[in-house]
Parts: sequence; structure tokens; C-alpha cells
Amino acid sequence: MQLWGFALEFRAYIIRRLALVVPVLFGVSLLVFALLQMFSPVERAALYVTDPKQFANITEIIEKYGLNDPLWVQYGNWISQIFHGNLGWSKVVSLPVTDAILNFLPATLELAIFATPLIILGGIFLGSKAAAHKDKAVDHITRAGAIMGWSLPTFWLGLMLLMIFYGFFSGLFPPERLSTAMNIVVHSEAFTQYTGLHFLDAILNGNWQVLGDSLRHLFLPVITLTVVQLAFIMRLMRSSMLESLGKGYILTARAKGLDENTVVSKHARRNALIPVLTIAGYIFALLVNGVVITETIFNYKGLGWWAWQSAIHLDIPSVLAFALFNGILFVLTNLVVDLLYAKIDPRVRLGGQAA
Amino acid sequence: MNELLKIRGLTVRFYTYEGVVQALEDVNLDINRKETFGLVGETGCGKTLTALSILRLVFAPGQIESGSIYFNVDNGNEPVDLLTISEDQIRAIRGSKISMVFQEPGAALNPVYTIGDQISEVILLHRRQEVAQKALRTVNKLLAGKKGFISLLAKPVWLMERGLYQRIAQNPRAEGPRIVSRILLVRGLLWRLKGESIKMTIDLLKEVEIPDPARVARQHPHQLSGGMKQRGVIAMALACSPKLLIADEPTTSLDVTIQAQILQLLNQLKSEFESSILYITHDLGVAAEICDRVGVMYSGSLCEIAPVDEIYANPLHPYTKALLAAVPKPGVEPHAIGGIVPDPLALPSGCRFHPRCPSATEICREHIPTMGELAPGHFVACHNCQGETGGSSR
Ligand SMILES: Nc1ncnc2c1ncn2[C@@H]1O[C@H](COP(=O)(O)OP(=O)(O)O)[C@@H](O)[C@H]1O
Ligand code: SF4
Ligand SMILES: [Mg+2]
Repeated sequence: MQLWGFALEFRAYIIRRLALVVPVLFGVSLLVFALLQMFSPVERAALYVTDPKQFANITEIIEKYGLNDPLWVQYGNWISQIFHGNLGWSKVVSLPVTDAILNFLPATLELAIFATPLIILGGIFLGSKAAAHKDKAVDHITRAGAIMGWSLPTFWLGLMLLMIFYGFFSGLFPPERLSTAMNIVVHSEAFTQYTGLHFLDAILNGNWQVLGDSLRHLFLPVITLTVVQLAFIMRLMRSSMLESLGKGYILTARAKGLDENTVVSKHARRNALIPVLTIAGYIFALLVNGVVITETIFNYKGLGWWAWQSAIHLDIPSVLAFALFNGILFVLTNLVVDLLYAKIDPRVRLGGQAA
Repeated sequence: MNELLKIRGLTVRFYTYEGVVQALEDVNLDINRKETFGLVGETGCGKTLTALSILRLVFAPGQIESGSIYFNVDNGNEPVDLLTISEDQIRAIRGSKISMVFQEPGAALNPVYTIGDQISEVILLHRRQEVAQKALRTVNKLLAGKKGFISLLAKPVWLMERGLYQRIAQNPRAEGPRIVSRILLVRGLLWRLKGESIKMTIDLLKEVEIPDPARVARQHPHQLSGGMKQRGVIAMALACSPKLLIADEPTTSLDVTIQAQILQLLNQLKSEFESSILYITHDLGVAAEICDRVGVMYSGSLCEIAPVDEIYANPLHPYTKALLAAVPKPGVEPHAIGGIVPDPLALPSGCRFHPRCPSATEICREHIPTMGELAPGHFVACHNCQGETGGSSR
């Protein structure tokens, strides 16, 4: 009974929230399309040029893709091209843009999969520890650590780590995604690339050598990302937790006779998580987006690296596709964050101030 | 011995950046068994702080400097000093022997948990044995029930459940079940405890006259009105039939009609649960309705304690007189008390009321008056008050 009622209330919220995704995605597509319109038809035709020789018949291409048609017709064409998976040609990597994204996404995802839990869970754990022991040694140490982490420039930290763990400890944690030998293994017949995530494929193939190598390469960029971003979540969690600990219901919880641990981890933390969630979602989206500086320093070829290359080579189709990918990613992350909100906070789930 | 609680020389200070706040200074009062003691005074005089000191819930920058709070749970036993017992001991008393209802029911309830969760939490904490016995009875019934295919499958689980509940029923803090309760999935074996405690919660909600208690138990605080929330908080406070129920201005944040209902409910529950009540209010009118004895507090100390009829018929302390004159009565203009509450960082010397007191004399500026019994059961702390026994208390 109880569970069923809960599911029903929750379902209404989920449906309401899902329905909102459609208009938002439409808005995102309009925005990217508007960006596209800032280029002349000739420039836009370049989207579909895969070979410099094709520039000779540029007017044909303009005709073929209807680049002189009224705007709404063009929008329709553009959207239907996207739905057919045709996002244009990425000249930086000489691949269709769709393939480029599919190629680079697993690399970035691999980073995000390891860094996100470390950042979010670590930040929440340290932040609430610091708040629960406010002005004690734990608090001072974590806070000092957070300030240092937050103020270290990513590139500097990355280079330092490389210097120590690649230079000094000669190759302990190398840059790039895989060593040359393992790269050959991964692309060989015997190795099936199920997901493109090397560590996962290695497990699925039962190839522990590749797994070890992949983890070794992931180590430094993941640490770099974690050190910088964790500080942010930690500080946020600390202040949110302190606010929560000052609330009346905490006094109630203590007056009930609950021990300090229950008071903090059951009554304070759940309320404190609410503001942290938004930022956690944002950080996840940022990581999946590709982290340009980190990927560049570690020569780790992911989405961030590709987007950066595209930008400096004025590769318009790639940049636009990246913008579109970004928009969709943020919309979906927001969706997940909102659903988690509803799970944590009944006031969101059940809506309004009913009395 | 008739006293349930004896506060002696309670002094609490706050060490703030602006200076030391002498929030409570030598507070003395007794609360008898099954009586309702009203603690009355203007906002900021230290009523809530007195209550929190009883539960030892004063936190930095506040500090309990000195004093004792003797609590005599059952007649015959030695009273314990709540201020010196161990942390475990005071936690066992909080919420079970002494519980508290707060001023703002909206703030006192955790917004992310249901009313049922929050009340059953107290039951699961302090009445674990009882809950386990109930669960044990249910499991035993299942084990003795009809033998069918399903019972054949479930039997091993029931047997394990029975073992755990037996262990808890013998010793609520038994190691085995406590370890089980920490392990994911395995702790599902203890699910009946929650179920039984929710049933007890629903009974409690019935007790505080909440309509449709089963539904309310499943609701979150924001779905209830202020009055309903306060009933929920009262149910939570009564969950373990406390010896002492502290009600800190429980009706201040509610509508007038709801106030009357809550007062009536408290009066009724008090006799049912055989608890003493420490009723805190800034309103002498409210105190008259529900209290047996009243203590009047001013700027961190008590200035007059007397049975409720006595204090209305024969107020002795100038501050009590002023307070009574400020109670709105039909046909009479209420007189606001002249002057302002003293700055807690710069308290006046001698009697803290002297800058506002119409009967102040030289001695009031220099010496703090001590409390004396001017008539049987009527205590006053004032240099210039004459009771039946006559003369100053010092
Ligand atoms: N956190 C604090 N910091 C400094 N002073 C405090 C603090 N909490 C309470 N006090 C002092 O304690 C006094 C009594 O407060 P309180 O018991 O809440 O009053 P009441 O409940 O009678 O309105 C206040 O006047 C204030 O000076
Ligand atoms: S001691 Fe003096 S100042 Fe204080 S109440 Fe009595 S008469 Fe007034
Ligand atoms: Mg108060």
C-alpha cells in the first residue's frame, strides 16, 4: 500500500518532468541552428564537403542540401539530417562527425566514470566530516586541503604529477590512453571492443594486461580532475551541512536521544545533500563534456581534445555538433538531478505547500 | 520524596565575541510528580535555555558553568544528577524519561522523513525490547500456523527472524542483531521491527487525536497543518511515556483556536500518561489554564514561585505584578511593563529588575536578592517584599 502510493506520486512527477524535456531539447536545437545561420550558404555547404575537390561544385551542394531555402525548410532538413546521424564532416580527424563523437566519447566517459564518484562521494564524505567536527583538526586539515586543491591550476598540477610519476618514477603512470603494445592488442582481431571503454572491454575480454595498462594510464588524469573538483563539492557540502546542523529538527533528533552519528548521517546529511546535488550534476556534465586542459596535458584523446582541435582549426561542423551534444547532455543531466531531488526531498516530489 | 526534578544553582553562560552572556544565573526550582509547572517570563529571559539544560543540550558557545539537576525517576532510588552522568546515560534519558515539545513544530520536524518514520525512530530506540517482543509474537504465530507450501519455503527465514528478535527481546543492545542491522540486505531480516513500531506510532497518533492516523503516518511534515504537526511532535514526545514532558511554548506559533485544542490535549494526556509537565510560556493567562504551580523568570533567574491561584490572587514580586497587569483582561486596559529587558551583555548590578522596578531602593542596586519562602509554598526573591511571615528574605 505504502510503496504503491509512493510510486504513484513519484510517477506523476516523473511524467511531468519528462514532458518538459521535449520543449527544452527543441529550444537547444533552435539555438544551435541559429548559430549555424550566422554563416553564409557557402560556408555552411562546407559542412558536407569531405574532399577539397568538391569545392568546384559548391553550388550543387548548396542546391542539394537546400541551403538557400526558407529558414523553416532548412531547419526541417537540418533536423532530419541529424536524425539520420549526419552531422557533417570533421576535417580535423577526417571522419564523419557522428563517428568522431562515438570515437572520442568512450575515452572521456572512462575518465568521468572514475573521477565522478571519487569527486562526489569523496567531497560529500569529507565535507560532512569537516562540518561535524567544525573547528577541530579534521576540519582545519580538510579545509586547508580544499583551498589548496581549488587554487591549484589544473595544468600546473597535471604537469607536476607527470613530472613526478612519469619522469621521476620513470613511466609509473604514463600519459595517453594505452601503451603502444596494448594499443595493438586492443585493435587486434582477438580483442572485441564492446564499448570502447578500454578498462571495461578488457574485463569483458578477460584480458588483465590491458586492464592494468588502461588503469595505469587513467590514474594521473583522474587524480588531477579529482583534486581540483573535489575541493569544490567538499566546501559546498561543509557549508550546507553546517546550515543543516543548526536547524530545529537536529535539536529534535538530539532530544530524542539519538547518538551523534545518527544525528549527523541520518538527519543532517540528507537535507544537506539537496543543494550539493545540483553542483554534482553540473560537474558530471562537465566531465563527460571532455576536460580540455586535462586531456591535452596527458595527451589523452577524448571529446575535450577533439573539440579543442576542431575549434583551433575552424572546423565548423564539429564545433556545432559539439555544442549540440553539450546541450543535450546538460538537459539530460538536469533531468537526472531533478529526479534525484524528488527522491531526496518530498517537497519536490509531492509538489507545493499542501496543508 | 515528591520532587521529580530539582534544579539547584544552575548557571549557564555564552562566550560570544561581544562578551560573556550570563544567560542563566543561579536557577533553582523543583518540579513535583504529576504536576504541571509553568515557567513564565518575557522572551529572552532564559526559559528555553533552562529546558535545554535539563536535557543537557546546551552547545558552544554556551556552557553550563555550575549547578545540579537532580532527576528522581522512581521513588526510592537515588536521584541522578543529569549534569554529571555519562553521555550514554543522558542519551538513554532523552526522549524516553524526559522529552521535549518545541515552539515551532514546522522547524522541529525533519522535512525529508515521514511523520511515521520520525516517531517510530524514538520507539525503535527506547522501546526496542517491546517492539522485538511484538515481532516475536507475530513470527511465532506464523511458525505455528498452517503448514503449506509457502510456509515450508519461508520457514528458514522465520526461524532466523525468531532468533534475532529473541536476542533483542532479551537485550536490546545485543551485538548479533546490531551487526545484522548494519549489513545491507541481511538487515531486511529485521523488517518486522519497523512494521511493529509503525503500528505503535499509529496508536500514538490516535492518542493525540489526529484524524486518519494511518495516512498521516505516511505523510511528510509539509503536507500537514501547523496544529497537526504539533500534535505529531507531542505524539513523538509521549512515545515512551516520559516522566517529564517539557513543552516550550507549544502553542505560540499556532492559531488561537488550535492553541486551545492543544492546551486541552496536553491537560488530558498528562493525567493519562501520569507525566509531569514543564510548561513554558510568556503568557500568564495560558499558564493559569493549565499549570498547578508557576515560576516567574526574569533575566536568567527565577523571581517568584507559587501555586497558580496564589500567584494570581497574591502576587508579591514587583515583576510578577507588572506581568499580571500586562495580561489583557476584558474591560481593563493592559499596562505594558515600563523600560526594556536588560542587555544580557551588560546586566544591571544587584537585582536585575531594579532599573524597571517601581519599588526599588538603595539595597536593590547593590545586592542580589535571594529566594525566601514568604508564605507556605510561595517563594519570592526580592528585598522589599512582605509576605505573611514578613520581612525581607535576607
Ligand atoms: N547562541 C547564543 N549565543 C549567545 N547568547 C545566547 C545564545 N542562545 C541563547 N542566548 C542567551 O540566552 C538567553 C535566553 O534565551 P532563551 O532561553 O532562548 O530565552 P526564552 O526561551 O526565555 O525566550 C537569551 O537572552 C540570550 O542572551
Ligand atoms: S529587589 Fe528591589 S528592585 Fe528587585 S524586585 Fe525587589 S524591590 Fe524591585
Ligand atoms: Mg524560548
